[in-house]
Amino acid sequence: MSEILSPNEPMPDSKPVRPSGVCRKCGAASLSKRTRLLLCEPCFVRRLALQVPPLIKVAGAVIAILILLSALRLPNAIRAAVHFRAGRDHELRLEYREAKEEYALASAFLPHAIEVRVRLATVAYRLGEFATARQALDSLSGDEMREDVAHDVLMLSTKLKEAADEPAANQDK
Amino acid sequence: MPLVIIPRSIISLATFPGVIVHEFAHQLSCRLTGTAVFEVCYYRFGNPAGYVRHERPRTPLRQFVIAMAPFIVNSVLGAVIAASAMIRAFTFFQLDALDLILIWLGISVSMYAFPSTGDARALLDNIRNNRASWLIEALVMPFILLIYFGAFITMFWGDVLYGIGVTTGFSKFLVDCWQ
Repeated sequence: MSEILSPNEPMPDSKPVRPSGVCRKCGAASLSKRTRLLLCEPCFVRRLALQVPPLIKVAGAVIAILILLSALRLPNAIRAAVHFRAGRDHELRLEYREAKEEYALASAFLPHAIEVRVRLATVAYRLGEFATARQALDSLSGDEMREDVAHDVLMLSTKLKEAADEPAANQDK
Repeated sequence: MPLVIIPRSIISLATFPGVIVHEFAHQLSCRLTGTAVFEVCYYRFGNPAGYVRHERPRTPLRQFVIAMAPFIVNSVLGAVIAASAMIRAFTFFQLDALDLILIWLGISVSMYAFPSTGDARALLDNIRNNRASWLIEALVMPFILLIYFGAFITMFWGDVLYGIGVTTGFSKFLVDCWQ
């Protein structure tokens, strides 16, 4: 909130009584022409200066550091999101090869994104690239994930295991 | 309604960086418009949570800049702070501790973008005292009404919704632009 102090109102830190026509802060006779308040030029200039208490400077420094951290993360987050969206679009159109390329790029920009690695494993499985799918799934071990994503991972893992067992079963026959 | 009965002082305590940035924006705009500042309270546990006491600006335009500065500063700063974390949250549904801090800070800062009714009163007061032309009055009046509307919707968490809207909207805008 900004609150206006009128010329006649006592200033928060001024001495109570001064004759009119003199600076209400220091009592100097010449008043500043730049303000309607009864202040001399030096007192007015002091009031213009940006005086910030040390605690607020510290808070400002913390905010500046957080802005810097956010800015450093931003380009990769944007690129990963763009490639991930493109990958989802390709996947919906059943263009798995293009989708895999986009997911791989997204994963390169944001290596810890679980959702990206799950989608990458899924499209790699659909392309028959079981080794890539297995590698993507293995990279998820130890990561905490949402229940629905964990379900997808479990399903995919089972399918990959079946696919790996199939050649062995065929050989037995 | 449970939304209304949470005291403002509790909300402002949980989102105190926004109050500090809001008052700093007023102070900075006073500096830029050559308006003398007498007292700044960046944060206190009370109502209002912060304030800046300054001389009457010489023109309504300067008063307008001082009143509206937090709207620009808080909105932009909040959106920038939360951008990377919001992208990770809404695209990948994944957040680490730093993301949570950035989202809290971003929403806290941008939710205090609305100028207060005190700012609107100061603006109105300046127009009347400077006997501003009808054109200036006509230009400024919608903003005054908007400020009062902002103060009204704050009672229904409009400020929090605005904070969430600005931070998510900006992150979505960034990704859309990049595409």
